[in-house]
Amino acid sequence: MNDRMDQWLGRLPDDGPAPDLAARINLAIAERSRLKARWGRVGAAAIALALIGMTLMAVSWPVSGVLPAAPDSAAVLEAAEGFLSAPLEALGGSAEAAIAWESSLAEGVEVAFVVGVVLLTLGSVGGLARLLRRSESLNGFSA
Amino acid sequence: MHAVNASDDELVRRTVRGERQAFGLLVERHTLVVYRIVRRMCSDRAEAEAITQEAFLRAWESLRRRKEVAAFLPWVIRIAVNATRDMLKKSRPLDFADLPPEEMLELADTGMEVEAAADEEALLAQLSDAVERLPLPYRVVIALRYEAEMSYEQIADVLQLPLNTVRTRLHRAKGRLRESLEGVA
Repeated sequence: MNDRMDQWLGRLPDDGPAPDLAARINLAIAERSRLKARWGRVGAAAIALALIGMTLMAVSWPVSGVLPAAPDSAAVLEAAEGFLSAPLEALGGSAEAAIAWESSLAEGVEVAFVVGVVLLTLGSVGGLARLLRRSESLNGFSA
Repeated sequence: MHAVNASDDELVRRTVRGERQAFGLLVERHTLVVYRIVRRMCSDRAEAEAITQEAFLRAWESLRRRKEVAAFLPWVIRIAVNATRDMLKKSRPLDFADLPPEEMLELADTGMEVEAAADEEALLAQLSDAVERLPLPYRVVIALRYEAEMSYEQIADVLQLPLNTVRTRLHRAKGRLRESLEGVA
């Protein structure tokens, strides 16, 4: 029966794949390739933005000097204490402190530095998105 | 040399160099055999097609990163077998292989009575069902041996198992199939 079993196993019925399976696989590969190229460009752009941002920050750093001081700690403490007793007043206090800090930022920092920070942030977000996309594509099942 | 007539090795080299069309030819050349192996391992046609696609996608991504593949077909078959195992693990936590032998035989015999043994077509259909009910490790070796017509050595290479383990699994698989056909053939 062993020989016959071998013959039978070699002739088992087979429903066969869809006729266009190979074409569909090639389409999926083409799509994956396009996606990779697109995300590759995103990654390159992210790196470029981050580099430009860091350069701008480095160039403007000596001019701007040290970063503006954080809001006055006494004002923050006062606002925090106020928050516990009267939330509306505390919110007002916090907003005022934030506005004061922002004003000092605008006075002490060059536009180039701020642009640098923005570009670096954009680059970081782009890079993070690229990394997340990569891990997703590695875990995903279909193209 | 015209691309259609190029060897697998040549097409692999071109793929590594970035020619996607070369990999397309490999896909066209080997889709059927990879599908048939996967189909023998899992019960659903659409699932088998999806796994076949996944195997080629994994192969393509891998080729973009590596320089050398000893032989394309055994390599992509190994990827397909692993992809099928992954999928079966996700969808079917308790494999037949995890069941005690008595329970496994009972399940394997379910629905195995045929009305007439004379009809070979019915017998082959019955045998196909019996293969489908084999534990996965046995289905894999049956698929590689009879769908891909691989030698024991090639199967051992693809599955990265000792040769004797392959022999034993095939022997036991056929033994179970014989049992399932008892009274029929």
